[in-house]
Amino acid sequence: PPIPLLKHCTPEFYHDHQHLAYKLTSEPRGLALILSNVNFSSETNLEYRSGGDVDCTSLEMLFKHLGYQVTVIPDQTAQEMQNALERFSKLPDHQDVDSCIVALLSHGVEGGVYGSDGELLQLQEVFRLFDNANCPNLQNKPKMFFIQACRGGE
Amino acid sequence: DEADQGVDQRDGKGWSDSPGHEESDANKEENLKLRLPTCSDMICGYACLKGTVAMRNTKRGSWYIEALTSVFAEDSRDTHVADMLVKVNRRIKQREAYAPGTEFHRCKEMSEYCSTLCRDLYLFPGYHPVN
Repeated sequence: PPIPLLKHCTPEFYHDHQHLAYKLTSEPRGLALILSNVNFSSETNLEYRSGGDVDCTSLEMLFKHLGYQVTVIPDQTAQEMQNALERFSKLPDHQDVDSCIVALLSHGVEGGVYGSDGELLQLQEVFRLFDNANCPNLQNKPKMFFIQACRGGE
Repeated sequence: DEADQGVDQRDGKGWSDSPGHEESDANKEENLKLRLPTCSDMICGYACLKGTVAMRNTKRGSWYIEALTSVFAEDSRDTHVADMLVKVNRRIKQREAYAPGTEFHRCKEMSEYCSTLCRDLYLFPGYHPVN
């Protein structure tokens, strides 16, 4: 479904609220990475995520409308996801922007999301890549993560 | 004059080797240089709670992403991210699965978020600063 048109903030609102807020005026506002797993290899017993393509497209459009430079990578194994996240976290461009977004869309369990090969990527490992020790370019800048995945079976 | 300010100890296991003062041996020099906790300024939105499943409609996509995109599109102009995720929670709480004849019919979902943000996170969409 098409997302509603994004409404813009007024200069008055910005001036009244920027004192208590993170600096967020860079253009782009930041880099965004979407890892979307919809197809899983047949040995995994993980079902095709029908509707997953809709999620991926609407998030991509949302982030673009919000002023982010968006990269979408579909159907990665756990190791490929890890590599893509590590490469993304080390991009020098983070130095010149004010924030960062990572979205992970897949099947999952508590604390982890599945790669297309049925292996798990641990979320702690994802957060670690972007922390103050490992990602100095994003220190003191807001980092957003959105996780669309199951966290158990009830 | 210098009053005794006390020292900070942590609750939980593993502090007993250095009872006199706060100390962590790992990356000591690096931490002193950074003057920052290892992890801060993050917010993470989860589609569902620990131990539960996240619902997805085969045509409209996941409940959570649908709520997230519509709330952010409507409200980012004047609402900060944590408050928008509260509104997403409200929408998810209200929804109920439609899948007659399956175990998922009328089932529920609840989203959540975790935050180490230290300021309001406004996205200021469409605002361009004038130099």
